[in-house]
Amino acid sequence: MDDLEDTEEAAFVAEDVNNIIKESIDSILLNASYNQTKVAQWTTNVVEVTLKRLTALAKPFKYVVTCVIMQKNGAGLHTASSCYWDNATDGSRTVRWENKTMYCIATVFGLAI
Amino acid sequence: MGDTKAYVTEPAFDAKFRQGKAQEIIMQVLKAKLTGVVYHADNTSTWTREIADDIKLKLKEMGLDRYKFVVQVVIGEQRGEGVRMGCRCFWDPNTDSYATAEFSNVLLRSLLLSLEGVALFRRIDTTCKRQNTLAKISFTNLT
Repeated sequence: MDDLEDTEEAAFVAEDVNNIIKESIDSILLNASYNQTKVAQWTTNVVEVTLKRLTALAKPFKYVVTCVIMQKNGAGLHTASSCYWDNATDGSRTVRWENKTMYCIATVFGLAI
Repeated sequence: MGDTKAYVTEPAFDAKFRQGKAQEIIMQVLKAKLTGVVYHADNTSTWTREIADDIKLKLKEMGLDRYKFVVQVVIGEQRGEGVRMGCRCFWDPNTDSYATAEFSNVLLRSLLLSLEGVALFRRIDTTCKRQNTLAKISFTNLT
């Protein structure tokens, strides 16, 4: 177990995660416009693709991925999170993405084991 | 037993994360904070933060000392727009769990509160090999 605790292996690298989330959202929502019948599928796909790529990093982490897709019509949306964890190893990353018709907000929480 | 050491690898029965109890806590905080209030862009970001912190504090009082917690709060204005939220987690379903609650009033929609308890137990062989799939969905088009 000791080798897992050595620095980089066990760290939550926010930049990498940021890219992963962005690419996942792009791969699913690029060129799409809001459609009530499809959002369910989209949110599921975004979290699934993100999670798959995170687990492919093979780090000793547990992950929580959430994604909100909202239609753009001028309404406001606020989100906040509060965590009880080990600041040294754990981290979170939120990406806000938008196009003409919708917002997509995806958050990843990584918790070291 | 000789050299054999005993390690605690799972939470005791009474120290497990309880979904129902957590849900009650969330609902309590939501009702206390959001009953009768009206959406306002300036206040809402403060509310989201306060609610998330309140819930976290109450969770810590539950005394689950081998758990980490993640609390997420989303508040949306009610204007007839469609919103969808999904969540998926990579963890050990035996020890880790989540609870959600939703609250809405006439002018403000506190869309969805999600909260996850992630246990800290190290499991050398089984860690994170299981994937718990859960999809939390809240679709609202109330007007």
